[in-house]
Amino acid sequence: MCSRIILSSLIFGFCSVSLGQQDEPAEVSVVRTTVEKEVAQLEAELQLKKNQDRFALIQKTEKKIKQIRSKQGRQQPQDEIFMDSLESSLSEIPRGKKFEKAKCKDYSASIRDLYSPGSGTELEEKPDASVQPALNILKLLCQ
Amino acid sequence: MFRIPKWSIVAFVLFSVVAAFFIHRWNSPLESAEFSSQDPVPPEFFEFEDPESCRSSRKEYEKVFQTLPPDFTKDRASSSADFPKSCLTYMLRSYHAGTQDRENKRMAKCSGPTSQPRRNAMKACVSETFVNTLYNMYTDIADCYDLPQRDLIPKIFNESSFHPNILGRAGDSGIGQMTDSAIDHAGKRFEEFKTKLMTSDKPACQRLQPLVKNLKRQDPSFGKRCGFIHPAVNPITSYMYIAIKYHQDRDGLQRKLAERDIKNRLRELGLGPGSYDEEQFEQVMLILSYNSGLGGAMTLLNNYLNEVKTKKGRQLTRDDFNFKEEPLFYRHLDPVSRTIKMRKGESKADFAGRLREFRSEVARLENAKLNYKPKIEQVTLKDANGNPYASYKVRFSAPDLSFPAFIQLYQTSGSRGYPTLVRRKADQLNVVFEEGTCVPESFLVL
Repeated sequence: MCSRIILSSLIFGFCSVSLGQQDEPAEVSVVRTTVEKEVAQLEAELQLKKNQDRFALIQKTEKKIKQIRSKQGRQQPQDEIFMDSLESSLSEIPRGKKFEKAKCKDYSASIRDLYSPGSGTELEEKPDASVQPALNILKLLCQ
Repeated sequence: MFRIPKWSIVAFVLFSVVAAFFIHRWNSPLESAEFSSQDPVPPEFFEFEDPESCRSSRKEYEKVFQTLPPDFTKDRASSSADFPKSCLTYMLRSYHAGTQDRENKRMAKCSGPTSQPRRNAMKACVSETFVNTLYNMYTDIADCYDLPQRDLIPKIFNESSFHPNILGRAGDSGIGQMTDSAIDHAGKRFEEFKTKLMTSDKPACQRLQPLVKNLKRQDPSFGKRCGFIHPAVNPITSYMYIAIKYHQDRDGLQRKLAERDIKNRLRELGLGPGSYDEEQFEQVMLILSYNSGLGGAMTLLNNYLNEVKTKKGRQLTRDDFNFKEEPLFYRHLDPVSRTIKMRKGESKADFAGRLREFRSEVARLENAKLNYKPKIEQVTLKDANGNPYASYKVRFSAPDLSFPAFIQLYQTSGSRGYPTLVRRKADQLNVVFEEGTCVPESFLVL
């Protein structure tokens, strides 16, 4: 008899726990992780291939990111915003003949201003993590 | 065959009923509103302080302002202002009311205009000279640089209440509470704006010329941040930087709105030209840009429109951009789990405070005129050590959210829901004064 009570309670408990559990989605989508890997790879390539057309490498990665995103469809808003911010901050880096090493400080200040809090804040003062790849890549181009 | 005896079925049902009772009790409607009725505004909030009654450490601005031309320190017969001075007196006096004789870590003192600010100072003495100077210079700067004076008031009220010696947690300084990146960027156009003022034949610009003549571009490093606080160069420096930042953001915004084809995308989603106040739409984006950066603001808008588009038949209305109606509870949520999570190292009391704030905002939902309202339920979460704690989960459909709600959830740079916080300041002024006196009636409402 006792074992049956225990059995009933266990079944009930199991059902309660299953029904009551919060559906926790993944922190970061696979698409976003793939996009971040692509940019990390670009950073590594830019460090190694200093004599190649570095802007062509950036353009190639940008094209690839667009393909990945359009192929996989829309993700959760927080991931879309992250990837959008990553892409648009990267696009702020001037290309080809428009890029002048002497203006590197200005380029960096401009990206920081575009994507950092401009006034009192409770979040981080520094630019969002999605903007860091653009700042890293700019630093590599300016070396 | 395994047969379940009748008594155990009865026991199971009884147990379920008891469990259901407790679950429903836990999930009962949220606590009712925690708003107190509007307290009457103390009359001294509209009065100047007598400099004789202010401690000497509170009179640094007073002393310097007394040396300025009377055009700034006295009442003017004809003014550039389009709002009464009492709005400013109220904002200055109501800030941390009753603490004027105590040092405040949000107030700073400076030994010189190029030094590093030191925390723990007192509120400046809100004397007639002090208010007149802040008021006359602000309205002259606004007139000289074509700024919408009343549209900027709630933002400045939110940042500093016009107190020139405010120092934010991260070092953002002065009336505009600008951060180093904003100071650096605005500084690039400092000389251009200075020349514009120095060569203008507008009376407002001409009045300011003797004050601006020797001003220099500010170093953005914190070590020299007194340039935005010290009375020798303020409030004029802070005001000039606010003007530059406004125009920089406005120019950039026009460009970015065109690049992202925003007008056409709004039209496709039901908001065609003439069906909304385009000027206020621009103000929404400028207020958001001031806090999150223009790039961050555009990323949010772009993604909001994309999200709305995912739902077939969903059309935007002006109410989707109404910052007056949307309550501020979304900003407390973790956007992934959509629950209020206890932060790492957060005390129980602090977390309870956040839950209280959340509940008081949820209470606004009932009377809010919104196109879409989410479902809010109570849940049990677990902290890092596996200990359970009571919290809330908000179930919502992202494409149905309004833009103010979307910003509260997904803004990653600045203060989440910043434009709604600014709109609350406008509401405060509209309660104290007749609506439209200090702030335009349509502020952040399309």
